[in-house]
Amino acid sequence: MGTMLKLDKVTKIYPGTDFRAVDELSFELEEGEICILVGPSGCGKTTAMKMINRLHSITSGKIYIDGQDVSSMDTIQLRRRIGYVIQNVGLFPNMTIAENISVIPNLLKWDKRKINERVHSLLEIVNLSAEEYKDRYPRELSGGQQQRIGVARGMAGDPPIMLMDEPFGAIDPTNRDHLQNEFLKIQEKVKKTIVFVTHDIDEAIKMGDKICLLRDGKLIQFASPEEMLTYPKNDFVRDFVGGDRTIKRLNLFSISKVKRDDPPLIKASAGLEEARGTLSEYGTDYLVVVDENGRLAGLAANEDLQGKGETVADVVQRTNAYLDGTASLKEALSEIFTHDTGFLIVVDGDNKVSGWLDTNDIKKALKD
Amino acid sequence: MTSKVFTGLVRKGLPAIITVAVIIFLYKTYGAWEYTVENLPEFFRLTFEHLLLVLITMCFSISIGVTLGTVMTREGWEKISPVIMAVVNVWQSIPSLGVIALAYGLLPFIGLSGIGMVPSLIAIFMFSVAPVVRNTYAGIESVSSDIKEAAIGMGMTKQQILFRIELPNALPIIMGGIRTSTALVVGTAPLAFLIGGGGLGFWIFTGIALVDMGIMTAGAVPVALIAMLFDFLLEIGEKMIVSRGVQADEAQLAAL
Amino acid sequence: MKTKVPICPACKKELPEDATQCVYCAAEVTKPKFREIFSWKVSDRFFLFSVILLFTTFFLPWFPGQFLYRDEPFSAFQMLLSMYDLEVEFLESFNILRMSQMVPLFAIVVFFLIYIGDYLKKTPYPGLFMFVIFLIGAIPFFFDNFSKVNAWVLTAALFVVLFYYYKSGMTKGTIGRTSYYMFFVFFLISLFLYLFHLSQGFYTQLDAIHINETYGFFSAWIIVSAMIVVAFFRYMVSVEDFWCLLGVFVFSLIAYSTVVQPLFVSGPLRFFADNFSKTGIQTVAHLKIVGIALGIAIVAGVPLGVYITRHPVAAKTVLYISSILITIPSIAMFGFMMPILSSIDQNLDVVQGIGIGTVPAVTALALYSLLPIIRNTYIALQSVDTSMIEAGIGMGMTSFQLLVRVELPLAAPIIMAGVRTSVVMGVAIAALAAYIGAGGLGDFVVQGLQRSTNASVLAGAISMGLLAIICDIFLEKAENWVTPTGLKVKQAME
Repeated sequence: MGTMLKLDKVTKIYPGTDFRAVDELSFELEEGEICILVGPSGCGKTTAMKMINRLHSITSGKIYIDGQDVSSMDTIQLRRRIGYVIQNVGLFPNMTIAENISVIPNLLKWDKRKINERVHSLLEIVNLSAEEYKDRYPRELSGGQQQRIGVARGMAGDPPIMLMDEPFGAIDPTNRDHLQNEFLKIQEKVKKTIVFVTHDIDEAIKMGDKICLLRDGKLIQFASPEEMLTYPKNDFVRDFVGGDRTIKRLNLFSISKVKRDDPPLIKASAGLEEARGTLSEYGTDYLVVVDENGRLAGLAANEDLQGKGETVADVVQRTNAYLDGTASLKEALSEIFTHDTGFLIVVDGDNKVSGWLDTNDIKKALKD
Repeated sequence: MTSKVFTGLVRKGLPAIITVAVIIFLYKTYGAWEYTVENLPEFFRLTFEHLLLVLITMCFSISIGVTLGTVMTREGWEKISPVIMAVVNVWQSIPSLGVIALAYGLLPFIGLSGIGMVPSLIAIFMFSVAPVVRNTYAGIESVSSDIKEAAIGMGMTKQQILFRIELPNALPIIMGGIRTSTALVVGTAPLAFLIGGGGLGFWIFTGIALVDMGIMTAGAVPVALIAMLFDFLLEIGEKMIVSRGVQADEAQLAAL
Repeated sequence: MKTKVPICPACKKELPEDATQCVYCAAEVTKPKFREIFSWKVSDRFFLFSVILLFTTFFLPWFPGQFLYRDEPFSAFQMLLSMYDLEVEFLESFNILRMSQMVPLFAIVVFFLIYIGDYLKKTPYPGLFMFVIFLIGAIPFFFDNFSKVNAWVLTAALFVVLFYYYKSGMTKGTIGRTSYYMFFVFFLISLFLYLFHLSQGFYTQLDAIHINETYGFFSAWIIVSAMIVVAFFRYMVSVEDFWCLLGVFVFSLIAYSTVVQPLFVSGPLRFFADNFSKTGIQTVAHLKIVGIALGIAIVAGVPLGVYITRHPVAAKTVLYISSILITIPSIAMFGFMMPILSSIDQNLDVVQGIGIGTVPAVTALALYSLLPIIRNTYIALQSVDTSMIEAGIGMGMTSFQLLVRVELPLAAPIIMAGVRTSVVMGVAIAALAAYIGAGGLGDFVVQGLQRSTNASVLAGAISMGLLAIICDIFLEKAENWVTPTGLKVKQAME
């Protein structure tokens, strides 16, 4: 894992103006990291990104990709090595999906079989059936699908670096969320170094390994999302990430890291007497009822246990107060407040109870 | 489904039936058929001249028109191209007879003859090149900047962008221009006779001059058929060479 | 052209562009001063070229010797030498007065083609071009018709008026608009003079009048040259403007003597002058054919367009048939109309029946005009926002009210565009109608080709071209008039 991308005091002044669109921007990016360039409009984030593949010329400073100075490279060759995904997708309407994806491999003169394989695997990666979609034309696809093809096209030449200019900007919020998740999954598989431009701080926090916050062309803070939320460098950063930055931080934790592993468990087959004992042992208001395999069956409240019946199974109530371990703390918090149990049951993929957590755990996590 | 077949039949079949009926009627009533058969060698010669006129001018106006239209979109032409477009737009509204007459009247000023095949070709070419230039220019200009940016960002060279992105995407509009241009060419070709350019116009104008409906019909019907044939061929050609991804869809076709 | 170069603030000598130390006096340069110098640029080469051209034209035999329509053209210089020897006899054959009024008309043709519409207001050159040409045209006129003294006075007065008019325009920076108005003033004066003389029966007798135009031409040439010199030294706002302007002067002089003048001597403008009333009659005949056909096409086409929006199956058929109709070459269409119509005619007499003349012309034209109108009506009604229609229905409008109050007004601009296409096409096709005896401007071409009269052919071509262009421009404006004000605001905001 070496440094993949390095910007060294990169400055952009548009000819005929004194204004520094990008002012001495420097940062380094490890291989496989996503770096989000974020900032208010006109802050120079897109300009900065476009200087990497030299769509904009560099006024001064150096950009290195894998140790090589981009200004010494042939622009055409350079651009073929960099995946590029733009805001409005920009699929070529005259080409089929397969042709669109194979543009760069064709430019790089790969052989036909390899290109074909590449198209198939990429369509698989972006979760579109190759047989069904490869011969369609862009206009026959929905916006979200087009965007996925756009990403696939960007990755087609297997570039070490990808540049993405607000790729999800034109998509409605529901689909955007979905696409973001899918994109993160794709990134898990392919591990590209990505420079990603957005104006949406929530997207930045969700997607980024590093966030690069710009204002008027100047770098304000370059940090991981967590660091930026926890230790905003100045008032501008604080304002930009928003007054609810603590809540936003909750997005960064998954439940499984925060949960406690000792939930007040009781088997459904256990007697009421035994259950009452367990309850007083834990000192909670509810017991988590599981079946023989440890799967969640429901909850049993203190009052239920005082009532009639022989086993816990007779008094158990179904409950929704549980979440999968991969969910974020934000969702957890919301769930806790929705139900009056005061805690939340954490289950794994099999619906097996793996732990629990309450507001105190969340507080503790934020403090750390 | 049946209604679709029916509609298709009505749409394609009805005009064909009407056309055939009109042709038979005209040929029968005025003895055009007999005239054509009697003068078969002349008929073939005139048809050949006519097709020659049409094909040569079409080749020139397509090649020169598309080239000029493309060049106008290149860098460094930003100031000149609006002027060319303005001229082209005005030029387009000049009547075909006017253009023929201008060729006859003005070519002598530059030392050429105003009579014969060459002035006819020049006149028809001048007349028909305008829509090709205009549509090529407009078509390439209308290719969205997003697509071009994506192409540049992917590392395409200027030629690659032109031939793989801009021209294929502009093709429906360019083809529209070529079809208009062809319609103008076949419409003007009969007039070439007036300045000695030959072609089937000979029979039409002779028929008019002699008030002989037979001769006139014998000329007019093949001219109309050639026009329809070219239009039909271009329609098929358009379907073949324009990518399905940028073809006008059914709704738009209906509007045309 | 003036450019700025840095100079040393101490010794005032020229410095290289990014020098920090003076090369000559070694003084440190923090803020260099600038000096304007004169350096040759493209525009200057243009100027030099123009001066050379102007100089040569003075000696070249084709200017303004040919102007005088002599068998042996001779130069301005020669004319100067032989000024007092010139006899009037060789001038007799040339009708100079007619020229002086027709020149501006010709200039209008040229500039409608080059600077359309608004562009006229932005550039001074058409106006200046007119100015020069008018001077050349008007001054001989003064000399022809008044005593020498009076002619000089009039010339001087005209010159002073025009010059100060332009000068004020230049100093105010409104030269473009100034020229624009001038353009029309020239036009009106010319037209007035022409009509005035026409009413006097002047042209018919003109050949008998002896004219001494030597003074006129020569003085016009002298005045224009002097004006260039004076303007060069005193009145130009920016130097570069002047180079271009000078080019225009030279261009106009050359253009006048090479293109305009031959056209007058034997060309279409002479033809127009000779056939002024006939041109008018033929134009009216031309427009009548187009107008009637258009009327029929609108009356039939718009309702048909409305009908097919309600009946999709019919829509395809109708549009397909009309698109086939329009592919048929117009002369072939006339060829069909004549036999068909004369077979309808009971007399079956082709020569005197309805098979020839205006009827087939109008029928054929109406058929052609149908497609653009039907198609545009159809497209326009299809593109009316459905929410507006729903709103109308919601308000309780009947479908007829909906059509008349909502749909058609919204569709009007697009329908008007169809009308425009129809008219331009109609003007072109009606030209051919001359062949089937319907008259119109095509007649000039028909007769010209039959008699091999170049002037007549060109006159026909120019007049029908102009008519088509004028119709096009006029209907473009009409499109704007029928656009509902609400839509205009929207367009402006977009």
